[in-house]
Amino acid sequence: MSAWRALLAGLSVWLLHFAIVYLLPSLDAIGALPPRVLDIAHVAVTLACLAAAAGVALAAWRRAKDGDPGAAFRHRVAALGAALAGVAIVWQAAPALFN
Amino acid sequence: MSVPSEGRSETGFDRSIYDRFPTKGRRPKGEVEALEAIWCGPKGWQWITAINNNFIGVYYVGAAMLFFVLAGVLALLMRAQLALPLNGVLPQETYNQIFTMHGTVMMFLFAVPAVEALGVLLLPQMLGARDLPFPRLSAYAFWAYLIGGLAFFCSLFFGLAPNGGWFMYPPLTSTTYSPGINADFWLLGIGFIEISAIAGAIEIIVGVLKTRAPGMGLDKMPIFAWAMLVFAGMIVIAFPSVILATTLLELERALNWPFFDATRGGDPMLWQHLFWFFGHPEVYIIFLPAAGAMSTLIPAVARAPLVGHWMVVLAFLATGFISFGVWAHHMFTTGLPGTSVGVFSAASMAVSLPAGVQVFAWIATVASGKMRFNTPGLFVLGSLLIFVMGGLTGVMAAMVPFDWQAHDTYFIVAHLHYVLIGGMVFPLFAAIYYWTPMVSSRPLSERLGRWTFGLMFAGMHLAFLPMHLSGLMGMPRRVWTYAPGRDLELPNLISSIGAFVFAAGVLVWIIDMVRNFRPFGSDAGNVYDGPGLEWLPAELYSTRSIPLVTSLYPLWDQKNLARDVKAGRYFLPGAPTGGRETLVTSPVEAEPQHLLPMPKPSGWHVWAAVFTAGFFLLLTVQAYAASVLSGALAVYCVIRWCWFLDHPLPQNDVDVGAGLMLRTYASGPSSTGWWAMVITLVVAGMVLAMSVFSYVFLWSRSTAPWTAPIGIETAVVAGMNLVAVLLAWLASRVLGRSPRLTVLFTTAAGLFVAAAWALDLKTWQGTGLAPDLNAQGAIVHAMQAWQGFFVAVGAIMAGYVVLRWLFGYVGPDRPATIQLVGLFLAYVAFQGLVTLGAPRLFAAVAA
Repeated sequence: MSAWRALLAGLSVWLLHFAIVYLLPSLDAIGALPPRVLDIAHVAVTLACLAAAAGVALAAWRRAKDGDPGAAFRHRVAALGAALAGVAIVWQAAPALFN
Repeated sequence: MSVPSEGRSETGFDRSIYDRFPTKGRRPKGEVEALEAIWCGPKGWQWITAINNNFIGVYYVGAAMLFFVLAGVLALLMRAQLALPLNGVLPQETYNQIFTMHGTVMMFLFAVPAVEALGVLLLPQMLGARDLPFPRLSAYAFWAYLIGGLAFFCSLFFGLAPNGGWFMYPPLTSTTYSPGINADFWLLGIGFIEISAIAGAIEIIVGVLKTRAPGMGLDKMPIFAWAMLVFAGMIVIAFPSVILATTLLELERALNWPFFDATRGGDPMLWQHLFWFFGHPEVYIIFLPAAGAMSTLIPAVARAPLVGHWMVVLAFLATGFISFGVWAHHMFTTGLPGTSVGVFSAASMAVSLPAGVQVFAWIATVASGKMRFNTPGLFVLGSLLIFVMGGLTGVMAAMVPFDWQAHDTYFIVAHLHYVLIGGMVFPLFAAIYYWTPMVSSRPLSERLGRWTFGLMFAGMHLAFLPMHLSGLMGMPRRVWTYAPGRDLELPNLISSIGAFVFAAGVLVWIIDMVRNFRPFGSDAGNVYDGPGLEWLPAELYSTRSIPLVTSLYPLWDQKNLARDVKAGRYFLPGAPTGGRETLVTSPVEAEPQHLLPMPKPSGWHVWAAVFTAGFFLLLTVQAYAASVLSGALAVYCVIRWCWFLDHPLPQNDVDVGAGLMLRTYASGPSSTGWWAMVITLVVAGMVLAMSVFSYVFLWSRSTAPWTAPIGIETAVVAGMNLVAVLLAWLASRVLGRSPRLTVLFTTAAGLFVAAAWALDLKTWQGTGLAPDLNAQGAIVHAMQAWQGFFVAVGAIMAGYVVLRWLFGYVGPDRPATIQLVGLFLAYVAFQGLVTLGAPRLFAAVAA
């Protein structure tokens, strides 16, 4: 399972970020928290997820130099997946950040 | 080309054993004859009970194509009606039923089953397995789908077909506006499709992860298998949402529980969230296997390896993830909060990134090779063009201001048909032409194939390109007719002509199939020089021996592979247990783990499918007693089917080739049964998660505060569920010491979850919260009903364990059944805790 976890870690961060940025406007809609707090939460979550995606990408990229071709394949996919997640996180955070 | 003996082992398997293959010398006489006898084809009426993927796969694809043709005929009727303004070909009500059935049949009875069928047909050969791990499950899924699907389709002939559109929005589909049983046919009628799809998904996930040929690590796994793995994973996550949605709407219609009734605290928007959480991933569920087929076909027709193979794998995975973040783009016009709309718009645009990676990889592969413009090649190129056009209009529709203008117009009809025909129908036809020589003694005709392609390609553009225009000119979807003098006549006439041209292409294909398709005998061979294992010489038992895979394109890179496989020089060259069997390998590096004995054909799965379909269909026509009887008979058939499982063979270990000894019995995480149970529980967990979402959604929309009973009973229910988890865990721990104690613990675990559920339900009833009173009453009782259903299944399982113990089938030599029942009961207890906790947690917070 650890191989699968590593493979999907970056994409999971993307999904987690999506779930949170979906949740925050919903909390805003029912007035659960002040808008200022939600804005700060939005920025904090985005930065945390970006850091996580970057960490996953770097770690996987380093491991991709492994001699085992099977493992190298998995780490390459994981690294690019995390990089893609980083782009998507910035993209899907933008509507709230520039609202 | 990489050598699999390099690198670290996943399971502790000694990879130097791979060096013994291919073996030298002749195999003993009689091995092939034994394989032929064990895997012999059905005779006479036995074709109904066949379970081998060579048969079920062909039946399955055939049935899916039958529904494609039937739904296509409905489309022609619609286009005949719309060819001229104020036309009178169809009455309005019939038109409503026909467009609803066209969408429903295409999405539920053609698209998903067709790609699942392709998986059942191709995967065993592609992966180098004798068959998928649960062949009876595939056969059950097929028969439930065929019987239920045909009965569902026939509702049209009685004027009882659903008429609320394929996404069945309430309040239009509530009893107020849809008083007949038409909507019930949809809600219950697709129940068997959901079961069938999930059964197929379980089969595919376990098959891809656990039955690959040795050496076929993830880097050498066929790209089609990657696509099918992501596809099946998406079904497991997405389908529970529509299971819950259809259940809730049927409960509202049948029992007056107001989930979607705004006058009693319900909200029709809940349906849209639940439906589209399934509905949008559904598009990618359909697209991904087709993309997998494209990524397999293009290297073969272009005679070049797939450019950026690992990036295409990533694109599949990324599509699988992000497709769950775009459901609300179907709801831009419903008044969602502005920021939510922005987030979903961004996610909808982001999904074009992985799709773009695939398209560029395909174009680059075509450009880097020497393309052959044969029929599969033409369909591949046609698909690329159509899909890109559909994708571009998709990006347009992802922009909110544009969507507000185009929503519910023919522009969207054009967009979705470009995406689905380019992304699924054309790749499917390419796949049919490409893989027919694998299953038929004759390939399909190249000449007729070109005609098929030409007519379908021209017809497709003629039919749908003008719809962009008619949509932008303001023509709404789902209208029975339109007024003259609004410049809609010409685009509609062209669309109708195009539909018939497209149908002519399909007709030519049918003629080609009738003339040339000859399945269940010898095959025509590798006429397109494909590089995958599916092109190895094969019989009903698949390949003579299961190869060691050292390349992504084994037939191009591994010299003499076909010769050595046929000579039995690889794994499992005979039948060491004397029955049907296949190799089980590890999920990452595909290292041999054990041998999986496989079932022989029998009628139980067919009867189970008949009675499952009967249960849903009889429920639709409100024959409740007959429906319950049919459901009970389905359960009985499933128990009989399971009864023959979990019996250890006399041989504990057998030689699978070159002296490699493997176990013939497995339990726990290395066994296929354990994986299947875990995936089933993920499905159940997703239904639970979506029901909690529904609770929170309705709670957040409520104007009055919600309350919940919190007291000593709450602690007692929680305690009983925790004890049940402990007992379920203990049951398998004490199996080695005392089977009697194991049975006692299992039964006790079942009793504890049942008692906890009964007490929780009684506590809620004590508050006077009736299910038809308001939305909270409805959703609380729906969650309790779901838990009650699981308690009932748990009780049946516990009873099954007792029965097996009475027959002497419970013992330390066969722990699998006990482990799986224990896993299920532990999950039921966990679900009981969530059912207990979630409503109380949110009732304690004012919305």
